Amino acid sequence: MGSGGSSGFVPLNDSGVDFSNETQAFNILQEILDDSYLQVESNQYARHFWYGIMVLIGVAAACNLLWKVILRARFAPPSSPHSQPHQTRAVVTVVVLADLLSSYQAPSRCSQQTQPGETNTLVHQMRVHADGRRARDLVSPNHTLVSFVLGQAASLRAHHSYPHLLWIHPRSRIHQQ
Amino acid sequence: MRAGWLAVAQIPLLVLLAGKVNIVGLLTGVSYERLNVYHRWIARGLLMLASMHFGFQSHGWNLYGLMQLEWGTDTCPPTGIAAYAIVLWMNLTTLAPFRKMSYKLFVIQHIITFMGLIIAIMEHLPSTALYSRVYIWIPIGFYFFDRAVRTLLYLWSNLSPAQATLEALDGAAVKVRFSGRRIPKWGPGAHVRLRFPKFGFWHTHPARILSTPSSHGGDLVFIMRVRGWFTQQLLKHAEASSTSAAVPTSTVLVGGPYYSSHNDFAAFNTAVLIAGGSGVAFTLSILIDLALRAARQKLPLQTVKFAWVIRHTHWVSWVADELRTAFNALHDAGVDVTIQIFVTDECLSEKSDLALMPAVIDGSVADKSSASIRELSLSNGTGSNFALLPTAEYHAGRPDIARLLLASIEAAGGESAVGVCGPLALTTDVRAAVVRISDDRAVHKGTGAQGIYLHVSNTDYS
Repeated sequence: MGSGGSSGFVPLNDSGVDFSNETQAFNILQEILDDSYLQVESNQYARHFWYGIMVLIGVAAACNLLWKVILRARFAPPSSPHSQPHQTRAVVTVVVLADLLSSYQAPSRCSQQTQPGETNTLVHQMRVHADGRRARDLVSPNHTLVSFVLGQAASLRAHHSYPHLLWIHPRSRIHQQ
Repeated sequence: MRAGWLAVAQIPLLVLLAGKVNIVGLLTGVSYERLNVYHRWIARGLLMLASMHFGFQSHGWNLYGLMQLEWGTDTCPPTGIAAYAIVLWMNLTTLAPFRKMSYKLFVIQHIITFMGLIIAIMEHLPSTALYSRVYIWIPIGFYFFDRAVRTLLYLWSNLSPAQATLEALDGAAVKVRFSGRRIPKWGPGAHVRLRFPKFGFWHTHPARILSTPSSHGGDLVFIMRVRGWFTQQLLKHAEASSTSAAVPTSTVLVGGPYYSSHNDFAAFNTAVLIAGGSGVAFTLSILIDLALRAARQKLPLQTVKFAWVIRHTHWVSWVADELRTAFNALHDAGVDVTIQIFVTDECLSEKSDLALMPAVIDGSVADKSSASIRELSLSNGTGSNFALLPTAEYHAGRPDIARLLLASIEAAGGESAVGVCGPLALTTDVRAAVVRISDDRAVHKGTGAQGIYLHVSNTDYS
């Protein structure tokens, strides 16, 4: 007869069990069905699953809220960055940077050697060569994440999508283009 | 055991993602139609876990020849297999071909079998762990909350039912209009479920609201194309009544509105709105909203391109007034606006009377060499339809979506937003084109190319 089924820590052992004997078979079946340990463990799994779901929904809700803040910020009339509420600027700046960083993808192929900060040149080249060459072929190998973010920030500011970005690096060289 | 427990733990999530009024949608800003996709995948996961639970348990009993004894002495196997059979049935009938056979029948049997599933699982859960029933009581609560909110909203909205005017339109379509003073304010792209007791109390039909609360005097306006029995009855009633002097009306009950989850198109530099057939209700409501807001305040929006794919030019008459008004309002507000009409079942040849056509008719968007463009002649009768909307550009054949989008996105001075509503083929084309353009322009890969936001809305709600 197996032992330790109820404790849950010792595996069941079928040695010596006569399965043709209905009583013995029934007893070991009851031990197999004994869930006093497994139900606790399984419930933990279920609870952890729900923690995960709640975190997922929470992150999605936070992203949704922040995205709405970004969109709303675009309706703010362009004005001096220092006239904007400090908290609004901070939130928008953090969200935009997070947005840019999260969407960064390393260039897959590099066909030209260029220096960081040549984003506009690349865009110009892309338009010039729009007939045959794809833009991603023109991405610089020296295009670091930082220069990418700064380039994106300059681009966004230039297009008035994120006027608050001026506040990030007011003396950055990228704003002198 | 673990798989079974985890399967039961999925049920609250399953119901949470199925309701039309649900907290997940409220928090994440995702519409119930989109959440329904996750609902289906959770259900498939539940089926997988239930299969594992059933398979491993059976294997364990079989290993020692205890299967017969277990089935004879325990109530779990019969109730478990009942629950498993119901889950399997529900998953199979959710597949699109079955769902599309009769959506109404699908919904009814889905709810009934779900109740059966709840009962079977309640019976199946072991008496040694009755607290696990919390995973069943919670979804029951979610379900009744959803039903209660919807019922209360429905009763409130229909305390004094509205009288809808029905207007038969060319191209087997009906324009429905009524005043819904009790209906909560809706946003552009929202839809409701309409019930005309005259054509059967149990028949409801989803319909996209073409108007906004600030347009059409606050009335709700819909364009419904004839597809099934219900819309056929609407058209018959509109046509029969139109022969008499009285305006055809019918009592209408409204469920909803249900909001669209799209982002605010006014927050982007460029908006491209593409519609196919009656999908224009979605894009036009956004266009009207943009026009009304542009007249009141300065928007970040600089360019709007509105493309509508229709079979015949006279379909333009459905919404010619709305398009003209929106065009003028946006134009006056300094927004660069273009309206393009793509006519698929007529072709506009050079032999046609170009004087009747206020805008260029060419293959500039759809490649002339493309097989999709058919050369037909334009009769004088058809030509008069161009005067309905002189501000639009008319093109023959289906649009080359990639070129249409690229032209706008290349010229954009910031982020672009693309909204599309129509048949599956159109929405699939737009999805593919946006991905390709994003890839080709290396968006967010250091080229400085601005992001493209895409919102797809299907005319098929099932």
